[in-house]
Amino acid sequence: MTLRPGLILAFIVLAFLPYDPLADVGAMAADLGAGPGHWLGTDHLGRDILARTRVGGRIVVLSGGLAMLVAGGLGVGLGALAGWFGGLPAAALRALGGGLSAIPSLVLVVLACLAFGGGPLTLAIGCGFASVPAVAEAVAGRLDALRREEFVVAARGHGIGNARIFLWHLLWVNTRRLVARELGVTLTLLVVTEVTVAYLGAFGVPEPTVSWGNMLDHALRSGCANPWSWGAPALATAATVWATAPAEEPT
Amino acid sequence: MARFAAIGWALAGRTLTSILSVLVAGTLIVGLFARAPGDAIDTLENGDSVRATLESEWGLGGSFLARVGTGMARLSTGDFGESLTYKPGVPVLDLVRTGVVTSAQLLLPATLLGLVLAFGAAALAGGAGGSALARIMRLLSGISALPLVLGALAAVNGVNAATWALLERGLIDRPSWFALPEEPGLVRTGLAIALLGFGSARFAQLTRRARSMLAVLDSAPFVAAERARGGPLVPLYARHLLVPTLRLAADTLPALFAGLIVVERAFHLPGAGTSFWESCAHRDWPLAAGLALAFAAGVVGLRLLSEAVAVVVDPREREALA
Repeated sequence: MTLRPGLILAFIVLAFLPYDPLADVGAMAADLGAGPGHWLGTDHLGRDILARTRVGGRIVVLSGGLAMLVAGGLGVGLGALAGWFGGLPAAALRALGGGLSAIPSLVLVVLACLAFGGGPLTLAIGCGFASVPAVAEAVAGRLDALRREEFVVAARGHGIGNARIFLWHLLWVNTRRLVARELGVTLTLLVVTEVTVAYLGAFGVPEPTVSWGNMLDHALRSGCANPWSWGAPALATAATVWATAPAEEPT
Repeated sequence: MARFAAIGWALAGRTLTSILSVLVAGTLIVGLFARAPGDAIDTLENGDSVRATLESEWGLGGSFLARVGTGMARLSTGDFGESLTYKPGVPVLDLVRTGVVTSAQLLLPATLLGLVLAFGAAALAGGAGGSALARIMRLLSGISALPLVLGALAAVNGVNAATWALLERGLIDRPSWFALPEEPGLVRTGLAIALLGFGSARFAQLTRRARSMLAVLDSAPFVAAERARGGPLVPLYARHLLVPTLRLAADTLPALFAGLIVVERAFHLPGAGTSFWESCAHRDWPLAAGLALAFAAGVVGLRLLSEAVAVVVDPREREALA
């Protein structure tokens, strides 16, 4: 998977173009088919499906960004400590990570939603926490393998400090692709979980915030005649999962 | 003797790590339930009038820390309590056992299906990859990355629409499972197994891991030697794939449990996934916590099993431990 920066920028710009979910409601234009003016038609409340699908990307950007921040911040921090020091920190991380990763991510997110209330913030933090063990384990494993390598010894011999070796040579140069891959998995998890909890009928993103999950949920519950009302968010979800799911093992 | 002692200590260490992992998972689960606002009494029609009685009977009062402490103390003694509102009065352990046994009828075939398909796809698509079959397998792998929920929706809507079309034309009689969500049938169970084994990116992940496993074995010197001798390769591959396959199954088990909740809900099938969702909806915390802990213990248990099997069958693992 190679996500071009231009493609990501276009996605973000499109998602954040102005849209007023309340002004878009129009009973006279309900259930319209695809055509000029409404290229994918309208839903049961007369709202433009193309515009809502576009705006649904905001959840991916905002909640996905927060989830990646949580997973990246905690995962890289804990993994780096365990990988660099080994011994007790590594054993503690194994036990903690083992416990957290043993709980299925959907179960963890549902429990977080029960405890703190559903919504995009809880979804993001829940998915972020669910991804911490994978990120930490990947970083710890990589650092543990690298810290005794010859280039580290050579760098020390050249008088380079531990902080620079650790932050630049090990973390940045050698683990950034690995971390990027794991964060891609986190984003995929968020998109899938958002749609899943909305489909299951609880804890999803509440209206009037637009999300692909609540679009799908409302389309199915309202029995909207326009197939794009569920087809568009389903396709958007599928395309995002496809684009963010890592294809190959990182180098 | 010293070598066996070292292996024993290493295995004991891993067992201890597993126990700690279950404890961490249990604390997190109990803590989140203790933090959740509201309780099972809120779901009762006469909740307000019976609150005083039920709160002490069900042990729902107290501070957050007191509830976590009480919950962990009860779990550590194996006292999972009784279901409060979903199946009132039934011991949680009985419900967890029934749910797990029922769901295993989906989980085991789905796991086997996923592994067989993944290794088949890896063997077919792992070579030069120019054949039409290899391209189809790659396409299937990509499709499996779609969210399971979309697959479930497509399957349910597709089967219903096709059945309805055939019924309208008078080509078939009304099947017993059609529009009867409470009655599990062969079609519904088969679809659920297929989706669980194939969906939610599991197939794509499994195929990738299976390809790398086969690639490692293909280039191993002992395989080349066996090949040169003209000996049978299948038993050799099977022996060396056992441990990585168990590890693979352990790694994908959390995703399977999550998928289980979706497919059991989508196809109206009974099992641990449905029970977990319903117990959460009924705020039946003891049952929901018991099921969540059962999921976590299952994952940790399978990981530990894969480690133990690795030590028994793989001399390299034994040497590394010793």
